[in-house]
Amino acid sequence: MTTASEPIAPGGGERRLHPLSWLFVLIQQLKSFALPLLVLLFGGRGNSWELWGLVGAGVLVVAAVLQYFFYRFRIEGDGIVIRSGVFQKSLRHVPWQRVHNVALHQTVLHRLFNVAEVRLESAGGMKAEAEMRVLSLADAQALEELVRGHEHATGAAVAEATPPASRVLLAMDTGEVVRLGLVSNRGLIVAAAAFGILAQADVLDDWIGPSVKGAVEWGRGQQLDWLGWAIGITGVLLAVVVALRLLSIALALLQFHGFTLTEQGRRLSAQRGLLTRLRANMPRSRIQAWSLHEGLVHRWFKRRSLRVDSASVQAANDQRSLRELAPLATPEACDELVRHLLPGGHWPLREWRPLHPRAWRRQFGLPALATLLLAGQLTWLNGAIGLATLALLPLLALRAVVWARHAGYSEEGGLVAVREGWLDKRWRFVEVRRIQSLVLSQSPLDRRHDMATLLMDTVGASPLDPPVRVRYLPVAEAEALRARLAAAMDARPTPARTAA
Amino acid sequence: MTADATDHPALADAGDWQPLPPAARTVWSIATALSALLPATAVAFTVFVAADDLSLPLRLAVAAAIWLLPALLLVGLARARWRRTHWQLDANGLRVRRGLLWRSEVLVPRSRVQHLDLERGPIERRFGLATLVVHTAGTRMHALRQSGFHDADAVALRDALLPEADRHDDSL
Repeated sequence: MTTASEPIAPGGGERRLHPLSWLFVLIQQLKSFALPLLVLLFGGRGNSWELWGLVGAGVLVVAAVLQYFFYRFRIEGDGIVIRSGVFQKSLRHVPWQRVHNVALHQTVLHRLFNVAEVRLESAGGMKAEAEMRVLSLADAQALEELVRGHEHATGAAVAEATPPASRVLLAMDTGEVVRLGLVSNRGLIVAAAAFGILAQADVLDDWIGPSVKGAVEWGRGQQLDWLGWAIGITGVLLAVVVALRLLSIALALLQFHGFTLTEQGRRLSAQRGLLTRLRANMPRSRIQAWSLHEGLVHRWFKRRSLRVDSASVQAANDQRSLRELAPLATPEACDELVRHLLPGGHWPLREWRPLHPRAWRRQFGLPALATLLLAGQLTWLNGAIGLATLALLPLLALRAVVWARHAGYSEEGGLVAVREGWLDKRWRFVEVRRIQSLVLSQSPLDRRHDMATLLMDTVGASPLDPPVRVRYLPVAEAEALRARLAAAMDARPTPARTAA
Repeated sequence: MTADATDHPALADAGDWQPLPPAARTVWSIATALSALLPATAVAFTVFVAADDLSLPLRLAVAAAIWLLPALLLVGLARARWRRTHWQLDANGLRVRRGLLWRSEVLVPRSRVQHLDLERGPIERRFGLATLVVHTAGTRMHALRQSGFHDADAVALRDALLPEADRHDDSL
């Protein structure tokens, strides 16, 4: 067996993971058992409970050490062979060609010991092909290089002499990351989770409750009655908003500090993180669909964010995969990035076609109906003041008109694009050859307006992004578009391996 | 019911919209009736026992209505659904048009088919029918499932849609 000190190379003997890997396996196991253990520690006061907890911890340690001794891997010319399992042995051969993503993950503890967790992902599978917890940093990088090297050597280990130079496509400085924090709602999600926990732990009653009451009391103390109330409440709201934004900024700094997107040959790699560092890799050709987003705050800062769907299913809900090509960048930088990475290189598209002329009515109809119902109910309950709800109607109409004016689709140079939104604008686009199936659908309302929706299904579409679909199209236009797309999809796919 | 299976050569006039065989209507009716009657039995029985202040014929009538009406309604829907379901195999691939109120027409190009399944349930087997499942690599439409094909049609469709062995999956 090769010792851990030798560099990773094809043809070498079998290797083990890093000698400290049992520690990280143990930590991982403790994490998944954290809740029961905490319950044991704090819930059960009896001695027998603590004893059982100790036994459980002992079993986990033994399991972690065993796992280290029974996990071996060997590097071969075309892939990696992994043997694992104590009782149920498994032998797995992962060809380099199938590896879409090599994800490196380093928490502070990993960095202290100079090791990294490595994950090899392939298309489609719900689980990673291989999860190596942990390798020394040098080994991890060597493995990354091997996968990368295979990409341009195309099977033969000949062209290894000249690895293509890496090029930085996007780097975010601290100011940009702070802006990302201001734009995102990360803080809100964490605050909601924290609120749930705090509500359990009585902190809400003991600490936050009195301070809110204090602020309101202070306002009332100024002898201003309702004005005092208003000032007090506004102050509290302002404090909440500021606190949430600060939290968002802190989270953005933690997750996205030092974000760099680099390109080496046909592979993209993104690195980020302040304490926990992540690095994800992906071949350019695995990009399936694109999503460009510009919210209201984005626009104030003159920024957009660019995301892609990749072929691996887990990418959708795993932050380790490379999804955010540009968490935040100027519109020009986003366009430049898209142009650089799209084989055809047409972006931004020039010819946008509008939807059905009555599309705005479809966006207006349902919210308006809901408003009318709400107004009716409020008037019935509270009297004439409920009619004030009707003031929402012009706003809704304005929203619908703005929405319809911005919405549209385009089909140009082997690319289909859809844009939607009013304050929050989104562009979704996909290469025609990446479309998997076409669905033309009509709801009863669609039929009354002679409209149809065309959905272009793609691989690995994230549930967070809207699907690539054109809504409210005139039926004839939708059918024509589908016919054109179907013909284009049937043509031989253009080779993805165009020279970079 | 199986009589027309013989005069329906598999994929004879592929290229036009084809209805599902009448046997499919029967199978769908039976399947929906069964799935509606089973839970309705419990409700009908409970009502029959609980409403003991009514006269016996009335109780029987109410229970029977609770037992049968949902099933009849759903069978009617299934038959309408059958009437609206059509399929077509053309140069691009397989198209399926279906839906009563929310209508849709799915097109799975031949070049995007990943693999195919043929399923035959017990009722379907009896009537010589099969369910065809066309898998793609997509997300929302990762499988197009259509029941009610003639067995011969389903097999022929499967053979016609099988991915070529030398295809290079460049779209992934």
